Amino acid sequence: MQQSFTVGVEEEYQIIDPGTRSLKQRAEAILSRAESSPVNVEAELQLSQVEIGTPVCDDLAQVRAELVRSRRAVGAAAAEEGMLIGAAGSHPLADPADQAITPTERYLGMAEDYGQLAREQIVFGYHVHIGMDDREAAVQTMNRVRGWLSPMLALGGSSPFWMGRDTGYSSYRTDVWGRWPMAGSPEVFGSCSEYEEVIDLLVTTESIAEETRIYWDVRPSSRFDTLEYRVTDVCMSVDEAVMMAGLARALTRRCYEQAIRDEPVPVVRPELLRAAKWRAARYGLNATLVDVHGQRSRPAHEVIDDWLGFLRPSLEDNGDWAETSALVHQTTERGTGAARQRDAFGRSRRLEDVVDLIVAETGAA
Amino acid sequence: MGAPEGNRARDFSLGVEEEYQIVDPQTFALTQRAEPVLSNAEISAGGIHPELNLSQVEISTAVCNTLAEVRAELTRSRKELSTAAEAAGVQIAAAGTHPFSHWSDQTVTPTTRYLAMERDYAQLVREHIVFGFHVHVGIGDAEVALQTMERVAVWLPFLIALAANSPYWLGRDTGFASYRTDMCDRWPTGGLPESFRSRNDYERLVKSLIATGSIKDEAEIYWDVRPSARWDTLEFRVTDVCSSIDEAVMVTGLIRASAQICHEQALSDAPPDLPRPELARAAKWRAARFGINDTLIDLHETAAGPAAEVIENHLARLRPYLEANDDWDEVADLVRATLRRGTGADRQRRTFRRTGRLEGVVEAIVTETLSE
Repeated sequence: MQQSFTVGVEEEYQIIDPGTRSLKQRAEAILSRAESSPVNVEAELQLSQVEIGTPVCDDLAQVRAELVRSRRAVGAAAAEEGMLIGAAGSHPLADPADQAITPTERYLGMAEDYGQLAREQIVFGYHVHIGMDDREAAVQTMNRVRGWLSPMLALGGSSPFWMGRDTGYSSYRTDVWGRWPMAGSPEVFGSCSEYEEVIDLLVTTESIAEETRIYWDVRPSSRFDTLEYRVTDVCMSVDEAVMMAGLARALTRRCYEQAIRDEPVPVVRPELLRAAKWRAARYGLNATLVDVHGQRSRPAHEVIDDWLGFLRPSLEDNGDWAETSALVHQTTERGTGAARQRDAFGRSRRLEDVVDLIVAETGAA
Repeated sequence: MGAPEGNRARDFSLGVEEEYQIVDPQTFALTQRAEPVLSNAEISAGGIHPELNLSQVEISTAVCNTLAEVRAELTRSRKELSTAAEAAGVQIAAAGTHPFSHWSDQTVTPTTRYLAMERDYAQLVREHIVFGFHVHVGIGDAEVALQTMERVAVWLPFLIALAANSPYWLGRDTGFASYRTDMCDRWPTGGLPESFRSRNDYERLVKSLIATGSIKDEAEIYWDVRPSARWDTLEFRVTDVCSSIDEAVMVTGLIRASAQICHEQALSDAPPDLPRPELARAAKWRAARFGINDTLIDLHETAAGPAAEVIENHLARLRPYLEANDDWDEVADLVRATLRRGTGADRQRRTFRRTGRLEGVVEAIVTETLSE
């Protein structure tokens, strides 16, 4: 069965006060302003964030157009409230103690269940759904993409600052997000029914209230016929967001094709997978990355180039090679969002200027 | 991160390490006084060591064969350390987190090892202001130790729940009984250990972590339970440091019996019936979140049940081993006392409700740390 490999993107944005540049708890007002707009905007865990979701897109041009449209519409709704929006994995100045949970049953329930862990989730992610209407194939594909997520994470780091300090990390959000008991790399599953048994087991033991509380880096969506990636920070620029969509789509296609040819699932120790992910979150493109398949450490640009080589046939089949490879090279040359935030801070030593950079890149199309 | 002296341990001998907070007696905040405390202390048979931050010190007991010896060693260490602290104008406190001191006010101990950790792990190290309790259980055969390790995962939620002693963080109630558990799981080599087919398999993993630059040496593996890099022991590092010596003795007795039952299973050659890793993690998380105040996931039964019931079931499974060790009366009494009086986390919350001050909580921890 041929899969569609359609693309749907969700982005979480920060709501920012233009005067102080700090996060502001204005989601409710902005959401009601955005109601009349044609884009899909929703509440998130914190009152200082909103999430957009694109329609199902058939190609990257459509993804780009939808993201531009969504960012504009949310930006306009925010402006009517005297606010700005920003796309970055963390807010440089925010203190978890100053935030407020969105007062809906769902989010208050999460705050109640998860305590401090929920209160510290002042982070902003990027989720991309790749259309796969065969759930068995989605599980078999997931088994094969696990080893390739760290280069994706390295390219997408946009959360170097936390509580007014440089964390040393390219994606500190990865650390914060990884605290959920159901976050991290998925295990390997023998079949779709094994996957479903594990979900049932987690529900019957009250480990999770419902299937949507599985936050693995990649998983078959509980709502759509898709494989959903949620490993990366939200990207500052639309270019980077399009790049991530192109990469996730090609990775899905490549690993799906391996799965239907019944190629063996690469055996990777989970400890090494975790170390690789941590390194990517810590250093982004600035040092080495762990090549989990080759079991060695190599300069980041080599690992990225190899990955691109691995993905090339699928990028070409998807018609995305020229754009996605150009965007990857643009990122390796300009630096990740995290690197650009640090450059901005280096110039003025003011985190407010970092926020300004985030806001400017979010709105530039 | 030291460990007991003596290289060849008898099977099921015990060595305990405790990490303590150094507290200012006026403000009850953490204070960076490890160096004067260390130079004042002369803890005889065992040892006293610096730790990651200058606001903490660690003691290790001599190798013990009975819980009575463990109790005597801990009593002596805490007393001697407290005398040294007093001479430096500070106090020591045993609890998994400090209720209100901020991580940004702490200083990493300026040794080559700790400064390198700060450089490599950055924010993770800065926020890592937590205090653990490590028990080394002697297991002479390295292969059997690994087969024991994979089987003990099912016992960890029970241990975490009973030892939970870190409800507060940065001046707030986290909602967790053991928030330290959450902090420790952030390390890239933290969390539950995986399974290994053989010692070779384990050594291959360590090599590949080193070859990929993921760790510098075996000591940077921080799993909840790990084969000691230096001794013939299985090292349990999953629980918060307990405020009272009674609780420390209880946890030590439970750890030894858990290791024994799993050791026996490992020797019987029966294939292990290991829980799904997702469920093992969920069970651990639930124990850290609620301690003994809600349900716990019983990994032996693959079901959630009221905490007191799950704990009694665990105790019943361990009973033959506790009896053989002559520990049953003491340990069962201590477990039941904990079920009645609450964990360290429950007592901290009660103190806060009574005094309305987190300083009052620290004061109570200091008192418990020194009570025999």
